[in-house]
Amino acid sequence: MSAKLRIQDGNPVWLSPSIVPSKDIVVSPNSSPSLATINVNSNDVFVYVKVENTGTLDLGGCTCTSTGAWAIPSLFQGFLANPTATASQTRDGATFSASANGDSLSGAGINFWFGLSASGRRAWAWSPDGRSFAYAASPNGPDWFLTIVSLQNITRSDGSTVLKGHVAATASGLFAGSNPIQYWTNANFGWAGSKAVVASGAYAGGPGWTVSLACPEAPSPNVWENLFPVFPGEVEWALLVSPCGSVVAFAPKRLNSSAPPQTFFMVSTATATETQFRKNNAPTSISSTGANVSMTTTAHTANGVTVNTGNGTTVTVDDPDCTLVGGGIIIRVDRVKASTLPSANLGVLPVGTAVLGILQVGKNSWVKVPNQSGWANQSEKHWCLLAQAYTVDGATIPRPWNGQAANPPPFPIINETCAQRNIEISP
Amino acid sequence: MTTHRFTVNVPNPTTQRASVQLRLEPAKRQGFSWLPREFPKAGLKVIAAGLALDACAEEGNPTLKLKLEPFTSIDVHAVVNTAPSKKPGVAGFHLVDHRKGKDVGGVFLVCIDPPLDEPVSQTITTPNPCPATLARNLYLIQPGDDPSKVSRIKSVRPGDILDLVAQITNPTGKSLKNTQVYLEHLGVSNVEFTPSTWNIGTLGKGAVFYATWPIRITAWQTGSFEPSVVVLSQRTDPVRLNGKLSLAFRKELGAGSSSNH
Repeated sequence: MSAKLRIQDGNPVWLSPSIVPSKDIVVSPNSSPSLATINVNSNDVFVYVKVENTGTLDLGGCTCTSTGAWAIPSLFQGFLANPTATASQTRDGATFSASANGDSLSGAGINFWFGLSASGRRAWAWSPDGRSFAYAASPNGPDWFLTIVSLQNITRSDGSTVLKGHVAATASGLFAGSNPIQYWTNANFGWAGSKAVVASGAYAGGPGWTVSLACPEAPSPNVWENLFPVFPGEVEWALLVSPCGSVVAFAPKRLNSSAPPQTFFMVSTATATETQFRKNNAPTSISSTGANVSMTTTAHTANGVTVNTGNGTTVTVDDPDCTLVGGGIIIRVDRVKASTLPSANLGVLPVGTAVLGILQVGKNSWVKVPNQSGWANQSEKHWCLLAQAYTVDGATIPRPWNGQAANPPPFPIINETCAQRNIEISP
Repeated sequence: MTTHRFTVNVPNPTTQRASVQLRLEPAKRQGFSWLPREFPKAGLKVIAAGLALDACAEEGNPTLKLKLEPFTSIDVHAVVNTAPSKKPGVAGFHLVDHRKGKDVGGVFLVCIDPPLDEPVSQTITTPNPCPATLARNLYLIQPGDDPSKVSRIKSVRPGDILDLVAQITNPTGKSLKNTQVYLEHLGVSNVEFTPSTWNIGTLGKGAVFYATWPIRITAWQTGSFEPSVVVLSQRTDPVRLNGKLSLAFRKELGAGSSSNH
């Protein structure tokens, strides 16, 4: 799959038909505008830029196609409770080794030392997508320290990067228990999708149930924690992970009709904070009505998730995975005094930017770019519009040129995502 | 006779001395097909066309050779003389820049007599527009507030982050499938926004979806500007929904305010 955009060059190259300054009110981005003459006082001339997706990858849409029932976390499979026990497992290019001398993770570009677990209690698991490895260990038995190591470079939701082989998240806690029979096991830890590790157990400081959610793709602090009151025989909580792993829902199961009312809530794995259920993007709440709670994504849209509130009653809410999709395509237009070379960059002036939200393979769209700085012509009638297209993330299709840089490089007219057009700005 | 004068800069943005050969080439008639609809149909009779280094030259040569030192440029002047015409007419030339054996750039020069008036705008419709509309005009809320509740932002300062709300509704009697909406631009305002697309999916008749986009006030904004929201649905043409938003100073407070129109 390749991501490609094109703004068509002209023939000659300085007359791209895909860059059209126009006064027209063009109702649809599918329609082409007619060219306007421009004078220095024009205030209603927009620059329309036609962008084509010439690659094999749809741009701007939801990249996750998984739908269906929200799943419970998958428990860690690796577990040792003896300081002298050994283990060795290899998956996704990384080998985990446990020994009496300490535990480690190794592989190409990975050399991570977890150290010694004094109590010998250790649990571990690879994330389902193989991009992370999680390891929990205990110095004393009831306490635990969780470390998540990235097995690939991971981009966090704030744009920062966790390098391969480095720590993506850590968490720690203390569960109730006074002897090895009561201490934690691998069943206290699980991967909630591939974007969060959940650690849950009885609270050591009194009645209650404590839950920690460590989210490697969230910026620091990337751990959410909560202490739940316990209502024995009345309320239990189900953790349900959305199909794309962007949220972990906490669904209260009312085990009998006298149980106190409880509401569902979610934690975002992108921010490690609680987030609201929404319906048509307005906040909404869901109350539990019984024990058989479930959630199912039917579509990555508003009202795309059906919630069984426990007694068979269903409500729909917006899909938190993909009702909102960040990104899209930036169209940026600059202008320079016309010279015989577009690379001359003779005083680059910004015109404006606009966004194309989505563009499917083989499709094109006219993007309307407003002029944010007017059409002053500096006593020179001949100007050249320079248009470029790139993806918002700056990675799928990088920005080809920065005309506002201190010494801008030549405008890369040879680049498919760049084109130019001569215009005249009359006094 | 009418004289049309053009000044064009010829640069050498490289570290090497450059030999440049310029020439004027008449543009072909079909090359004008993209020009404004008011563009005159008749051709102007060209008496002479040439290039010169003298800004006051009455005429010039069809070609011009130049030597340019590294990182220098020079202005050349194209002079086109056309015969008087009773009807509005047009003539065009490409000023072609030829270096190292190939054409490396150029400029399109258009002569129009009499000068073209600025055309008025026209509305370009589409045969099958997406029928979704704005249920009410655009408005701003504080981040995290319920977008279905219209609030009045009392004070706006540079650096403030707000949410722009567009209420998208389906006024027809049939559901719209695969509805999507994104914010194209914020008009002439230089307020920044976070690009994103809302997948509304099926928008039932009369239903309202509250699309939001975070915006950041980057400088004092005054006056009104017209954001453009694009809405798409299955088997229809996407359409632009234009709203209006005002940001104005509150003189009594010395701060800005926004209002919804």
